Amino acid sequence: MATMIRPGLVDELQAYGAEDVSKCFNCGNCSAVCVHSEAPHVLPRRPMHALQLGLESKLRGSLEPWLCYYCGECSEQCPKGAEPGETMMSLRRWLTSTYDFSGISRLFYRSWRWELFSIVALAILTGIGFALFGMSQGSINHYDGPSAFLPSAMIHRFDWTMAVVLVVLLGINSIRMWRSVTRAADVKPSIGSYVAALYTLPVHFFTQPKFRQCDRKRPWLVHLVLMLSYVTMLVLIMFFLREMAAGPAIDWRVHVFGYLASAGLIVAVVLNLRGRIKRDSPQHAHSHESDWMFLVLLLTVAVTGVLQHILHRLGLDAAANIIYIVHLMGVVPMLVLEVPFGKWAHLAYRPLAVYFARVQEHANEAVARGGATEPAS
Amino acid sequence: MSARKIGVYVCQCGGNIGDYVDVDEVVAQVAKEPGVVVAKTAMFTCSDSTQQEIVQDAHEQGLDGLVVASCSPKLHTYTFRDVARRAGMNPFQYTQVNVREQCSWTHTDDHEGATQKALRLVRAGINRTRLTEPLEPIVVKTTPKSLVVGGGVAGLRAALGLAQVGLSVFLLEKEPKLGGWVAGFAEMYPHGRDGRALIAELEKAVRSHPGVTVFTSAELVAKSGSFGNYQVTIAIHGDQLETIQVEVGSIVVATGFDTYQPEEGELGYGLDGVMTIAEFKRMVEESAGALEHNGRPVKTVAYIYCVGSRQGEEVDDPNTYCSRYCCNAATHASLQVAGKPGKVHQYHFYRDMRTYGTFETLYAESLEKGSAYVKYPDGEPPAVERDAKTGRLTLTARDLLSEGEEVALEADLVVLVTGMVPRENQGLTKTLKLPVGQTGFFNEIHPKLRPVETVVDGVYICGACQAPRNSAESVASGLAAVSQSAAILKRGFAELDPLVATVDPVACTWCGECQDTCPYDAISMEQQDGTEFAVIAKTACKGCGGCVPVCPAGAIDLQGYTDAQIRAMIDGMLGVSCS
Repeated sequence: MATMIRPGLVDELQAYGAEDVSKCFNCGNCSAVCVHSEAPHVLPRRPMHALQLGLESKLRGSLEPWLCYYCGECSEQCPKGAEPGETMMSLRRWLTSTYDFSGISRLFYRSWRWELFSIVALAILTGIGFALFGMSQGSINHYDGPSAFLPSAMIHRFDWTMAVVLVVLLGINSIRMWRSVTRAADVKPSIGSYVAALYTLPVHFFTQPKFRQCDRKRPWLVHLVLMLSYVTMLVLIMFFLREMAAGPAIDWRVHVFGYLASAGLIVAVVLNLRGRIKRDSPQHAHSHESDWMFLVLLLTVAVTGVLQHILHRLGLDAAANIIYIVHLMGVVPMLVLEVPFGKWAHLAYRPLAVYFARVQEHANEAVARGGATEPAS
Repeated sequence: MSARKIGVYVCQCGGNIGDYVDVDEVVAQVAKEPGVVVAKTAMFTCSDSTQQEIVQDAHEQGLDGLVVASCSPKLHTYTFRDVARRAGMNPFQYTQVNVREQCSWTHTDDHEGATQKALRLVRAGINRTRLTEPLEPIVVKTTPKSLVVGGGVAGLRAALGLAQVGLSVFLLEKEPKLGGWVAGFAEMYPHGRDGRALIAELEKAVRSHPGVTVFTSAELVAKSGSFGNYQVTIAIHGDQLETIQVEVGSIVVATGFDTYQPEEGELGYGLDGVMTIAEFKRMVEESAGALEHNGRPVKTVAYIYCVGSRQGEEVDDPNTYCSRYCCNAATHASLQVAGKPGKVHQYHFYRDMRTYGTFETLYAESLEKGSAYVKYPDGEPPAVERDAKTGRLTLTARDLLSEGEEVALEADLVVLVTGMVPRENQGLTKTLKLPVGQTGFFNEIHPKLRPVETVVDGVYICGACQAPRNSAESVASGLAAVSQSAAILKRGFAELDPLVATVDPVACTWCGECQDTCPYDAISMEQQDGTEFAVIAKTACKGCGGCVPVCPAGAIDLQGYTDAQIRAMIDGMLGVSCS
């Protein structure tokens, strides 16, 4: 069955950041220099060409954009200036929007105004909500204790509710990703293949070993620091919020981790922001509006988190409470909008892509051995 | 004993000959032949030092004949003729013996046999040389006028060029108007100049030049005479047919090409919306605003390249050549489309992009303007059909750049990028005896060194009648034909090899056999004192020798290869001692 060409797909991708795709004349230098380009995953050349032609159905099920970590080597070697690295990046944005059932992702990536408006609106709603809630049951002058403005138990419940909602949203989109991928695959993997490949998920979620294979190691290291810091902070907040918010004495059992994670977050975010401003490397040469919003949100959240902590320890509870609200005004849009619909969704899609790739490999090996798998209909 | 003094040089050609032929043995044997006063071997006879040595030997020994046994006469005939001349000999008393292509290279497995064969070949050469007579080149006075056949861009420019060097020019155009294909083009690549304006400019210059006489609706119908002085008959189709005769020294053929005409059903040709590149270009140029077809805006255009070019065994009598201009024309057309209002998606189904030289920028620009390229496999062009359900033209092809993935495209227009084919021109081909190559285009003598000359002396070819070419290349070859014409016509005379046939009028009984067999119309009948005999125009004779064996009276001999020389050569090869 012939793959239908959809003219204009490449133009559509412009909104996602793909600018110079049409310059590509298919020399394949990009794939020659890419450490991740290995059969059956030929990148960036194959998705690049598929995009040029408009082979939309092929691209929708392609894992290749997720197997690229944007070291930028390909863009540097490209003789035509076709920016294959940025094309992969824009394809990841586009894929994120195709996985998303709600259409919000598509809306945000195509219109930064909508994304900004939504962030601001949600932030304001969050601020008003928490302020009203605080005033209704506590005192602005109390950070913790029985009359606390925003008691940790309540925030804890709120966090867990939000977490469940996010997991559900991201879960639905991940299932849609899986459907796109399996639809495009030649072989239908058995349950055994899915089980056998499971080990890749935690490994690639926590350490990104493929990212580390790239010739440039620094981006991987900065990303690792950012990711581990965030995970540490997430664990603290989800499980040790009471200890974190108690005070004014410092509980070193949790705060030592908190300080390390805060420092890691701020350093990594600042490095990335500086890189994007200075365009110091190929992967920072092009910044989509969504990249800026993500980093600015993260920086806001990290700085306000640190600030409310300091204010609280200084005994300035009213100020600490106000900054806490500002902090939450950053946290809620960042998590609610970025995790399921935005840049942050890659926390699920990247490990899943590596996982699906391994599943397919396992299934293909099984077919090669004449194993019990059924071909895709 | 012979009174001749012949020098024999047997070449080793590095090891090309020496590794298989015992050249010392050959030299030792031929040194005993009557008339041979010098017999030597040389590592490379064509080298400067050996040439010097031959000249020196000739002066010291008073040589009057030279035999060089080395490679094919195609390689070094002129080299050693010149050596002979420098050595004080007549250049036509030298004989080339081919002991490389005809001996060492063909008998690498039999050294003894190769040596024996070389010896026989050299003996034959010596025997021929012994009977040589000094010959002088034939000097022909030339008419300082030129005929240009074809009034396209190449012919027009050639006519103007000939006139500018001071020759009288007759320019012939079959159509009622001058200009050929280019007169129908609007914007041309790579400079965006208007073809119509270009032709108008050229036509004005040609028509206003006093040295050029233009005949339109005119054809060349007959040619007689010989090199340097041809009488040509021109038929002019007006209200009534008129014929005139003119005398010219050279003829420049610039009859151009035809476009490949796809057959009904070939790649969907005949379906509404499927057209050739020529038809498409006209459509693009005639549409003022956005591109429209049947009143509807054109959103998607598909080009199929190599239509009628580079054909394989799948068609009878395939056009195996690349038409060369079409990749450029199609990418250029896509740029014209991209310059129009409204977004048009353009897909190029190609085999290999051959936007050679500076035209690469057309390809690069078309890519940047958003054209997408699909590489289809040789012999598997896209299938084009009209979808019964959607009513749209649908192309299906395998894309080699997507690992052979089959892709399908719905398009509003399908453009068949058709190539050039040789023009049907049998009348002219026959009249001028023009050589036609395997591809059907006219053939030059040598593609690199004699690119516009034909085997018919004084008849030159240029432009796309010779091979697929664009207008710039056609004009360049037209000007090459100008310089070649000027080379023979401006001097007032030309020299020809004297290796031509001669008739003994006493022995000749005029049966006409020779006239029938001559491919160059060089033989005519003459009467004197009541007897009829054949006369050979030595300026028309090419020395092919075809007339010699058909003469029942044995009255014809070929200068340089007389019957006596041929017999002597056979004797030499058979090892029979000649008297």
